[in-house]
Amino acid sequence: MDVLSWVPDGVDVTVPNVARAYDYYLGGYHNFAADREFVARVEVAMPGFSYAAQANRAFLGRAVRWLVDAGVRQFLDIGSGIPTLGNVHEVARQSAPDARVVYVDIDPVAVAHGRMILADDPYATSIEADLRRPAEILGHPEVLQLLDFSQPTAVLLMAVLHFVPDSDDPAGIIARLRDGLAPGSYLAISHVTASTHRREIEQVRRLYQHTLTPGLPRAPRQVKKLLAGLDLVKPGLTRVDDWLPDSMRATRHPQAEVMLGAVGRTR
Amino acid sequence: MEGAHQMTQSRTGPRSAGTPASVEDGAVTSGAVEDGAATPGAAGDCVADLASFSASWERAVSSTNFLPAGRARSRATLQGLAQRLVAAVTAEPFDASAGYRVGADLVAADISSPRALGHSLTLLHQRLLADAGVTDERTPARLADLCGQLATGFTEALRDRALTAAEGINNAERAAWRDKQYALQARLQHALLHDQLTGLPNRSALMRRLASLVADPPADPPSEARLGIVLLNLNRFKAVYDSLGPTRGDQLLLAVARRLRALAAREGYYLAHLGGDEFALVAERTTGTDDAVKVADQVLRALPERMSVDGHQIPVTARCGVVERPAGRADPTELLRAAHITLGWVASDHRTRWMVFDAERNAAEVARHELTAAMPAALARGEFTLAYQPLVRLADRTLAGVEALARWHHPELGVLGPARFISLAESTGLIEPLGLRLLEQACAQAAGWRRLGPAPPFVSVNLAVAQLRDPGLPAAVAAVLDRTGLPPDLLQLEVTENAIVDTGDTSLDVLHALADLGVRLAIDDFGTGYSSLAYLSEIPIHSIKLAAGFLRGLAAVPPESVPPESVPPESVSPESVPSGALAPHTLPPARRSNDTLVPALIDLGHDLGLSVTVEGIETAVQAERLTGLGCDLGQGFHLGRPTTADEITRLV
Repeated sequence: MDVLSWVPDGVDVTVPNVARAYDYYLGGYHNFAADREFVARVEVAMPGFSYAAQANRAFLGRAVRWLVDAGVRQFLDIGSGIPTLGNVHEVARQSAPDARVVYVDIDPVAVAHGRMILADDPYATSIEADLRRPAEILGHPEVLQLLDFSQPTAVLLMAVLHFVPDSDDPAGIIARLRDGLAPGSYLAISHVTASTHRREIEQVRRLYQHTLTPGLPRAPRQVKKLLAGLDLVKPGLTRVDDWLPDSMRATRHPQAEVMLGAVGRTR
Repeated sequence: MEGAHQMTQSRTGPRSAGTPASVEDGAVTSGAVEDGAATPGAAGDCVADLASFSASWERAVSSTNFLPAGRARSRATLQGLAQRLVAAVTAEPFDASAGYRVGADLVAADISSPRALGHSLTLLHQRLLADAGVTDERTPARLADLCGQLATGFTEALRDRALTAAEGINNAERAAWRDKQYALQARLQHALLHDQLTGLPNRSALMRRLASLVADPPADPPSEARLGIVLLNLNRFKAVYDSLGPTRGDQLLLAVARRLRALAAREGYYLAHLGGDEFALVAERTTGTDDAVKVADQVLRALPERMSVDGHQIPVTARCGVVERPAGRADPTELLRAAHITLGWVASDHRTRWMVFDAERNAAEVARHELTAAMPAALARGEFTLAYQPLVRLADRTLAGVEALARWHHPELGVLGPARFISLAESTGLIEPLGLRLLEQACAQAAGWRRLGPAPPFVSVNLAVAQLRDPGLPAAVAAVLDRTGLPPDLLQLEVTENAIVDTGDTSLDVLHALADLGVRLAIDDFGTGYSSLAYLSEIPIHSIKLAAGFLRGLAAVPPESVPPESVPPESVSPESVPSGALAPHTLPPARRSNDTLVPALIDLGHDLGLSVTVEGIETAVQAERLTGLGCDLGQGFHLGRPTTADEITRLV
C-alpha cells in the first residue's frame, strides 16, 4: 500500500494550477491569486500567450460543432479544466440538445466545480481521473452510465497531451482510448509545439515546471505520430486557428501558432 | 412629430435610472426594437446602417475580448443590442433603463472584458445616432443617458458574474478538500482494518465483526443463533519463513490467503488475517460444534501439502483451533482467546491437526496459571513447609530416616501436595529458591533430631531437574550443611533417572561434587524412566528407590511355591503385559510380572552395593514379602504416613 499523503495533490490553492490558469487566459473568474500571478509571469515570458489559449478554446468550439454535424452525440472531454466559457455541453447542445458529455480532469477543484455546475444536468457530469490510466476512464461507472461505447463517441484531448511525457507513453494512451471506441468515433486533440517562439515556449515550459503538471512541447511530426491509426479529417494537423476557420475569421495572432490541432476518425 | 412629443414627455418625467427596481419597472423589451425598426420611411436604411455599425462594434470588441460564441454569433448579438438602443433613443416615453439591460446582456453574451465596455461606449457615442439616421437634437442627451445606464448594467452583471464565479471556485475548493478528506479517511479506515500484506480484514476488523454478530445475531429468533470461529496457523512457519526469506515468505502467506479467500467466498465465511501466519474464519448460523469442525476440515483440505513459491515446493500443514457457541452469550475477546488457547493445544499435540475448545481443560489450565502466579508471594510469606514420611528398616522396623515432602499451605485451597505445584515452579524457575529454602528447613530439622538420640534419622530431600542443572548447587548444599550443622551423611538427595539423562554432563559433575561432600544420593522411581542402566556404574549413588507401581501384582508368597501352570491365562490382564518389540515373547506371560522383576531389582541393587528402598507399601502382606526379599528400607502408609516434624521427634 502507498504511504498516505496528508495533503492531497491539487487542493492546495497557493500552488498555481493549469486548469484555473487556463480559465484566466480566457478572461474567466474561476481562479485564485496564485493562478493569476502565474499567468502574469507567463505573459512576461511570452507576451500574447493568452491568444494561444483563446485560439485553442475557439478550436474546441469549432471542433465540437463539426463533430455534432458529423453525427456525434457523445463527448468525453479529458483534461477539460474548469467548466467555464464555451463548455462542450453548451456548444454541442446548440444544435444537438440530446448530446451527452462527461468531463474528466485530474484537478479535484475543477472536477468539484464541474459537479456543482452540472448537479441538475442528467446528461453531463464531471469525474476525477488520470489520462495516464485510460482504462480507468473508459471503465468508470459514471462514464459507462452516460456514454454507450458501442455508439460513435468523440474523445477530446484539448491542450492536455503536452502534460504527458514520453515516459508515460502518450501514443499508447491514445491507442487504448481509440481501441475502446466504436468505429466511426473521433479523437480531437490540440498540442503545444515550439516550431516558432522556441525561446519563449522554453521559458513558459520552465514556469509550468512549478505546477503539478509540467508540460513539454512536441514537434509537429511527433504530434502526428501520436495520432497513428486514426484517419485525420481535413485539413489534418494545423495550427488551431487554421483548422476549418469560421467564415468570419478571428484575428490571426502569431502566438496562436504554438497550438496545433487535429481531428481523427477511428477505423 | 409624435416622436418628439413623446420625447418631451419623457424628458419631463423624472427617472431614477439604474436601480434594479427601475429596470423591472420599465420592461421595454424587443417589442420596442420591432417598433423602432418598423418606423415608416426609416426602417430599411436603419437596419442596413446598423449592420455596418454592428460589424464595426464586433470588430472593436473581438480585437480585445475572447468571444467564445464566435464572431458571427457575437455580431448578430451586437446588432440586436444596437437595434434596441436605437429603439430606446427614439421611444416615447423615453426609458433609460433599456441601456441597463443592454449592458447586462453584453456580459451575458460573454462580451465582458473591461476593454469591451470602453470600446463599446466610444463607438456608440461616435457613431450610433449617425449610422441609425437619427437626427433629433434631443437624442444625443438620451444616448448619453442610455450609455450611462449601459455602463451600470454591464458592471453590475460583471460584478455578479465575478462574485458568483469566485464563490463557485471557493465552494469547489472546499468540496474538493472535503472529498479528499473523506477519501483519506476511508483509506485510513481501510488501512486500520486490513492486513497490509494480504488486504484481508485484520484483528480489529474481526473483533468488530464478532461484536456485531454478538450484538445482532443473524438468525431468527436471534436467541438461537450460534457462531463458529476457526483460528489457524501453519506448522513450523517461523522456520519456513526464516529459510525462505521475507519476500518468498510473504508469497507463501499470499498463496495461503488466496486459497482461504476462495474457500471463504464459496462457503460464505468471514475471513480475517490476524498477522503473521495466523488466519481466522467465522461461520455464522452454525447449529453445533460439528458445523465448526466442518469448517476446520475444509480449511485443512483447502491447503495442499505443498505450495509452490517462486518455483520452490514448500511443505505446508495448517492446524486449527475451533470454538463454537451461542452467539448471544459470546464475548468477542473471550471467543478469540478461546480459539487461541485451543490452537495452542493443537500446536503442542502432534497427533492432531485440529481441536475443539474444551472448557474444563481450560479451567484447569487457568487454575494452574493462577497457582503459578501466586507462588512467588507464597514463598515470601512462608506458605511452603515440609511434611516428613518415615523410611523404615524392614528388618527391625526401626526408623532409619524420613523423606521431606513439600507442602503449600494455600490460603484458599488448603494444603497442596508437591504434584500440584513443583512442576509449575520448575516452569517459572522458582524451583531453585524454593528448593533451597526447603532443603534448609529439612537440614535444620534433621540437625535438631540428631541432638535427641544416638541414632538420628537421615533426611531425604528431592532435587528437581533445574536444580541439578545448576553448577552452583554443591556449594549451596555445602553452605546449608554448614549453617545447619548437619553431618553430610545424614542428608540424602533424591534425583530421578530422567533428571540425570535430561541434564547430561553438567548433572554428572554436580552429582560427583555432591557425593564428594559426603551426601547420600538416591535414584528416585528407579526403573520407571526412559533411561539406560549404564549410568549406574558411572554415578556415585548410594541407594535406589523402587516406585509403588512395582508392588502391583506382587504375590504374598514367592511364586516358586506355586506351579506356573496353575495361573489361569485370563488372570493376566493385557495392561500388565509389557509391550514393545523388546518383550521376550518366548517367556510365559505369568513370569513377566513384578514377582519376577522386584526380586531381580533388589538383587541387582545389592550386587551393586546399593541400599534398596521400596515406596508405596500399603499392607502388612507387602511389607512381609519385601522383608523376605531382603529389601532394606520401606516407605508407605502401612509404615507411616507423612506427618509433622513434631510427630517424627516423638518417634526419635
